[in-house]
Amino acid sequence: MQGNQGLNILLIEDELEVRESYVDMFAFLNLEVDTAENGKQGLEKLDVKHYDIIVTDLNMPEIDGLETMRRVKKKDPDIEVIVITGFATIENAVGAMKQGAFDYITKPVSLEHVKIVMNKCIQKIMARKENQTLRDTNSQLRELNELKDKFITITNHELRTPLAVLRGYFDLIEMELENSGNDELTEYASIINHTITEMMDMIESMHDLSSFKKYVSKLDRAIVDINDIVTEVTKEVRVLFENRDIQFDIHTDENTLSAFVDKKMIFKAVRELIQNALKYTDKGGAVTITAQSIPARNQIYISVKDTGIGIPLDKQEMIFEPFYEVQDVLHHSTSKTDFMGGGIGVGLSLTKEIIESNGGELVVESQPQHGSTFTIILPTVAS
Amino acid sequence: MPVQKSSQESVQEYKELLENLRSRLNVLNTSIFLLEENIPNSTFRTNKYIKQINREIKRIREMILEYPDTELNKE
Repeated sequence: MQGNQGLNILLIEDELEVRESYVDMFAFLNLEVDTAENGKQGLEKLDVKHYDIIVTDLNMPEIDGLETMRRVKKKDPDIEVIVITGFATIENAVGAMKQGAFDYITKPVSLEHVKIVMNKCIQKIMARKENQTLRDTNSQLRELNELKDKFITITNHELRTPLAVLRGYFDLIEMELENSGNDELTEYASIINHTITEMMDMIESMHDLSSFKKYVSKLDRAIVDINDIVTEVTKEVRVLFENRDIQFDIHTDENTLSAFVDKKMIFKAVRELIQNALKYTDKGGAVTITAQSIPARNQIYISVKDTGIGIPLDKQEMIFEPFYEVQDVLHHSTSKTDFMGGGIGVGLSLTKEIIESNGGELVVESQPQHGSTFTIILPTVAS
Repeated sequence: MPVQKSSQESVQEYKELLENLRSRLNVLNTSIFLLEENIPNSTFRTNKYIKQINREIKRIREMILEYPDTELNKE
């Protein structure tokens, strides 16, 4: 026999010597069993540990095997019960089967018979577990198919159309406001323009699921000024900080910060860090972005510092794992910019991947309740 | 089971994409609101255009925020 295969087996037999002989027999069959002296003890053990199979003598004092089986089935109907009975009480065994026992073994027990019955029982349980696994897989595949259909819908006609319409009306508004001379209006218009373009680009380039990965992994590197990237990102997100009443400061370097990177990717990475800072900083807090050169190391640092909730030391490695989120369930929301807003937690993992693929590094310093500083380190390129 | 692992990853990737789109929509929504608030001497035409833009944003939001009726809704 292949052994327990991960299943727990309990033997209930009131006579000590008989019980010990059964244990030896099961051991011979490569099966490990726990034991109980009577039905009451057996039920107490069941309260503490899950058993997949219970082998019980029918004829026991206080609570007999039949009553034990009824109580077991009441706790968990999936537990298989095998009853052991003397030949004279075989009607009881048949009665037990009608009430849900898996099978019966007659005394004196035959090793071969026990082997057959236990094998059948174990196979039944393993098949049931496998069916459940298949059901779970089917459910996931169904979920994936539905999501794929949804995704194809929104990246095809249905989302392109309203975006195109939106673009059209926005162009009209821009023409109306062309000579307004209002800097704020110009800034909002620029953000709107950029965001619409981004959404349209995203839908175009991510038409199928696999292209999302390609979007991340396909690099288009060029020499760029990191100051420009930081300035562009901060223009876009500033309004979100104003809405949340969080101070937002930017410091760029007076010198050009040249790096050989994919501009779109680094833009995405910086924005992710800033949105992260926004998410974990409460109203009245502050977030500071600094871009600076470290000439001694030929490196460029882009730091995003917040006065937010901070990260415990033992979690600082884990935050870069996919799907890890520091989250307060009371504040859960689907927003990436609300305080402690929910999310699926892939942002930092993806950000790290983007930076490393651009030859850089992402580090964090943090203290709980005192905020965090995320720093992107990129190699400088001589202009 | 390999199928289970890859479908799980795929579901998470779709979620990430939807989250990205939602995030952009958030920025768009806020910026349109601020633009509207700051337009001096708004005309019949600008009001009409803003109204149309908001209508399209609402359509996009409904599309992106509407989850399939599956485990995806449970977070």
